[in-house]
Amino acid sequence: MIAAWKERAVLALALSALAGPAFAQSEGGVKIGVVAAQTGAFVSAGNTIGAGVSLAVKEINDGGGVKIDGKTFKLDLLNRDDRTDVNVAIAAGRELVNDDNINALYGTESHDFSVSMTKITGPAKVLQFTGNSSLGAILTEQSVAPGGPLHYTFQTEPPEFQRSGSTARGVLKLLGKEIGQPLKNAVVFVADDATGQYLSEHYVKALEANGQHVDLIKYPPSTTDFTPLLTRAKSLNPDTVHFWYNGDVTLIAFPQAVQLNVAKGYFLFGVDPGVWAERKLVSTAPVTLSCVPMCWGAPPSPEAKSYFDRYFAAGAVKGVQSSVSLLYYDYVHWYAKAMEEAGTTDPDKVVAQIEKMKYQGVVSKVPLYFDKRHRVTFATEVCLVKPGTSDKFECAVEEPPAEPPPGDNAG
Amino acid sequence: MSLLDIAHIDTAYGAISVNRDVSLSVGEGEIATILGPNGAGKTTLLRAICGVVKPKRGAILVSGRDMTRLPPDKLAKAGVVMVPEGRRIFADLTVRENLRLGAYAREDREAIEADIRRMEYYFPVLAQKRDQKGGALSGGQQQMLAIARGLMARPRLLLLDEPSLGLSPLMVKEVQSVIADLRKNFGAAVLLVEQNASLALAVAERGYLMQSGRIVAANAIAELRDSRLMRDLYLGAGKSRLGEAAAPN
Amino acid sequence: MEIFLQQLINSLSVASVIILIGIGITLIFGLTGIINFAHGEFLMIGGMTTWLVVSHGGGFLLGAAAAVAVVGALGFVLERSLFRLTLDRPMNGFIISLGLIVVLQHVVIRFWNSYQKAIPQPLASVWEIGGVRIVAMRAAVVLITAVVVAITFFAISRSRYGLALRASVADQETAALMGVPVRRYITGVFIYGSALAGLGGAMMIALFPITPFIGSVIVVRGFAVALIGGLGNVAGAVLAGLVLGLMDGLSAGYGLPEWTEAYSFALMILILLLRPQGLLGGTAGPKAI
Repeated sequence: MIAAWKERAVLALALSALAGPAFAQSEGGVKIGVVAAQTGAFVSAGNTIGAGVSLAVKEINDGGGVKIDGKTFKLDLLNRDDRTDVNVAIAAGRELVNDDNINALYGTESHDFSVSMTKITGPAKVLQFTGNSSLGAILTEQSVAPGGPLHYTFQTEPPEFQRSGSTARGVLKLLGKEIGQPLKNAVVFVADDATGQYLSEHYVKALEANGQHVDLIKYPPSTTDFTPLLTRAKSLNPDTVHFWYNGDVTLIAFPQAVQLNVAKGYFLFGVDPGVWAERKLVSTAPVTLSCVPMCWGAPPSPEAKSYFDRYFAAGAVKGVQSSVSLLYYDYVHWYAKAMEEAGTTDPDKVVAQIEKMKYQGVVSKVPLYFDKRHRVTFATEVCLVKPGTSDKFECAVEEPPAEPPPGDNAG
Repeated sequence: MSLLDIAHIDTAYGAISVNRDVSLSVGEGEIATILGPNGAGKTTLLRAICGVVKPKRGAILVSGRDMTRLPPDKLAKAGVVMVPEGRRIFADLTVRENLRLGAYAREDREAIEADIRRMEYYFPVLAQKRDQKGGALSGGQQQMLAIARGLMARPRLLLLDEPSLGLSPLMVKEVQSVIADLRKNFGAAVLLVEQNASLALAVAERGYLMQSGRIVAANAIAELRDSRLMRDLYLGAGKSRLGEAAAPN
Repeated sequence: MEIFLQQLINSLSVASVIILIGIGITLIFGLTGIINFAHGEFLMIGGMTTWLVVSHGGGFLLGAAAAVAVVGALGFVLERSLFRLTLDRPMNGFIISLGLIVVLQHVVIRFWNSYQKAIPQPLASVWEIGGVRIVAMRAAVVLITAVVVAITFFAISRSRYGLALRASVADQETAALMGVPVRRYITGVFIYGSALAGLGGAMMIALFPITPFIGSVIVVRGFAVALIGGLGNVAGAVLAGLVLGLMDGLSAGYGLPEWTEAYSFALMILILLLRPQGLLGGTAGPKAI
């Protein structure tokens, strides 16, 4: 990868020698801001953003920095904790954009925060790389066009219907094979808040598109004792129970489900096989896990394994959703590359460059690109834990469906 | 050296001075009384003796030991026990529990049980109502309970603050005979604070008159009874009269 | 039918955890005049202590004992240094404890990060009787709670210390006259309530994984139980815990699941409107002494 950059850097140098002076940038370096949940309910996802970004920033700076127009620029990282509180997130965003003059913002992984952030980054022409969410619905061809309010915003994950689709298909395939019976009834557990609502909408439709009858149970987000709700689920005679919220809550609810013997098989969203192995969890019923974009406990490619080795060696915690860091790692490198290819830090030119690029990172076997709505597409890794074991996984990489299922708004 | 020696005590609540230069003493087994009208500072003095109020100046000695400014539990252990004004029995605890609490500072378990039976013997109403809540007793019965509770600590000196308050004349007579027998039955000295002069004069051997926080007369009871000062104190214009129950200090 | 029985068993288990927390709060809130909203963080620290011990190779019992000792000691230190200064103005204690919440959470995060912590279940068996599943660890928690309730109840109603405590609460000054060292009793009750929080934390992590943030949810339920049962009333806390546990279990099982919390709160509001002093009556709570 670095060799390829050197090539491009020389080219950029030559080009910029012919072109005019580069866009005036902030003195010192290129400033990258991160706003994420380092404390609070969504820490398991949020914490990974800062860690992934900081690894990428370190690698780039150690390699000399970003080479633009004959000069090299170090990347400055400014990290802010939003405490899983939208007001804190907005305040942090304002501070980074208005006071610290960042060039790009990475975060958040908490839904409905992202939309609020775009109102700050957009007018200031700060690039924003953020997770999928209700944002997806407002990323339209018009809104991301030059001059549009979301021109500088990029969604780091595929549209939810794609993730739901590939996950549902992968899960049902693996569980069906292990259980050995056709699967008909599914119960989905999700927290009763904006995140839960957003996620479950698509996943329920995806399951139905795969022939399942779905009962949805929404619980108060602060629930710790799930036994009453799980008993209720049991009375619905489910073949499979799907926990679709954040990994921490899932790991509280799942053991309770097994104790009550609720279903024949389970799906746990947001729990990496690595955590399953670390905690030496064991289940008599088959369990499936999924990771975005790929599992650190069962990396499907040597590049992914190498990344995770470096990520944890730098001191990051082995968390349930540590794999999310990989996305942000790739997008920081992508941004750096885009600046080098465009020969400038001018946001309009850089955005135009990103829109043209196909980027080969670690996240996907095939190069990633942003579609006309500034969204990417990549596969989801789904793993089955062999019953009775802590570290025997059978994993598959599921490609996403091209079209949303009936009734899905493709957000 | 008496059982209780008080020398030049000043007390105050914040900036407001209550007692000035009070000195008195109580001998072993003696019954002494402090008389005076409403607001004379009698209760405050008792509270200073038993450790609830810290005197600003002066000394309190119990059998020669300096107990000034020590907390109430230390005074209780030294044998100085207060039966507070208005009885202050624990309304939600049973009669038995009230008695048991009076012995809190003691350690001799079996003797405490024996003493409870003794109290029930001397104050039969306590035996009858032993498992009833303290709040269910009448005023006079509560006074008996309060005194018995104080006695449970095996005091050498019992401080009685206005025991006749709010009681019927019949009950006052009963209280009077209990106090008179305290030395005989329980070996305790008594420092009695009263507005009801006839009760005090009937039981005490020595008396002090207090007015506006100061001791204005100290004598054997017989002398005191006939003194002009007494008559002025109690028959003067606007002051409370001999034997009348009045509002608390 | 087994589903209904299962829900009843579930309710008992839910209730026992709430009761354990509620007893500590009702004693402290009702009897000492101290308002400590960081009680939930005490519980969290108890759980974290157990996790620390177990993850370094100690047994669960050792971990639970450590939790009780550590949080009891924490209570002692905080009472002596901070809370005793607020006895004249209990509301100051409330404000202080809000700050304490943030401090305690962040001390824990600083040393042991904010990720979820878990221990292997100390008792792994699940018994099946007539279609109803009984989890051994949950039964143990119910048993432990029952023992704690019994000890606390008899200590307060029968022992010399309980007697002195009840007298101090009723009439502090007169109790002092009897020789009761009232301030020491306040400290003692605070330590006991804190130790119970520590035990609650150990029970909690035995049942499911915890994060440094579980305190706030727990403490609200604990205060609810204390208020509904009657402040300072142990039997009241038990009754209130059972009522709330039952409400939780049945409403989750048969009502709208999103409204589980709402049903419990509605019930609490109703009870407090009809009986402001709590189901079994209690003290008026912290007041300037």
